[in-house]
Amino acid sequence: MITIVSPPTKSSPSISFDAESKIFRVEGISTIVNAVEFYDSAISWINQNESTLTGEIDFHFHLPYFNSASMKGILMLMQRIKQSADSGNSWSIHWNVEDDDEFLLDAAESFEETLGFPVQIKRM
Amino acid sequence: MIDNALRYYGKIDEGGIVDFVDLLSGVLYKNLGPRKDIRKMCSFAIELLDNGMRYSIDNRVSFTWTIEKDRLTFELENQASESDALRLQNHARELHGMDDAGRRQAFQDQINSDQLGARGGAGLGLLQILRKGALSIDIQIHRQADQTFVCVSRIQTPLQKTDKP
Repeated sequence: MITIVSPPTKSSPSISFDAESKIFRVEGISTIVNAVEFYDSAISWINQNESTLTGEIDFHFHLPYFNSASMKGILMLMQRIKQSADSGNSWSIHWNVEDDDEFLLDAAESFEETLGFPVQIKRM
Repeated sequence: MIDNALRYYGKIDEGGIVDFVDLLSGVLYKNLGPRKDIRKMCSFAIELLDNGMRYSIDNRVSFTWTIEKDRLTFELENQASESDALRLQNHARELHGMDDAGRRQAFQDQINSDQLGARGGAGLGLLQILRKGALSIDIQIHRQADQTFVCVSRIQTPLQKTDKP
């Protein structure tokens, strides 16, 4: 079953969790004004459902474009993932990059450096 | 010699920014061919337009891009309050005074800060533009008769030869 945590809009990504494949996906453009609030709602969903997020959970991010406010929101979400991984859960972060794109590779590097946690790059 | 230019004047919102990015990425691809830095250049436009959207007091901006032989220029003009205009100009001056290490530290400090900007932004836009290789950010502010300010933000980025993806 796929749970839609947040449906996509023109300026915000879709956020969903596939319970069968155990993949949490953040996909789409993110140019939202209230980005921190937006990503905070995803963190709230994780907080409410953490007891059911058992086993290996992969968090996939595919954000072709995002503003810097979203970057801060995405980092908050990643920090929540790291927190859970640090406490023993097998949670991992995967960052999708198309065509060795500089913007997306730089972002992955910045996230990894800031988090002190692996951000696995998946080339598409 | 100008290869390509576009000027827009009017209202801007977060959906409108997506429209600009779609158009700009298509134009860059058409004019420059496939490159690894097209999204990076578009991200500069996103940050400028995001600033305009947050700080324009009438929700309107004038936005121009110009592609010349060896450079891409973005210019954003919007009306702003005095405090926002002065803060923007001071912020740009402060960033220009930093070296790479200073900007790197400023990025880490700001992205880890609990504080948001005055209009809910992350305070990272101009910093990211400079960190990612823009040649310059020039901010001019002009006081109007009604005591509001016009902010003109100009970014230039080189169009160096790049490895194709």
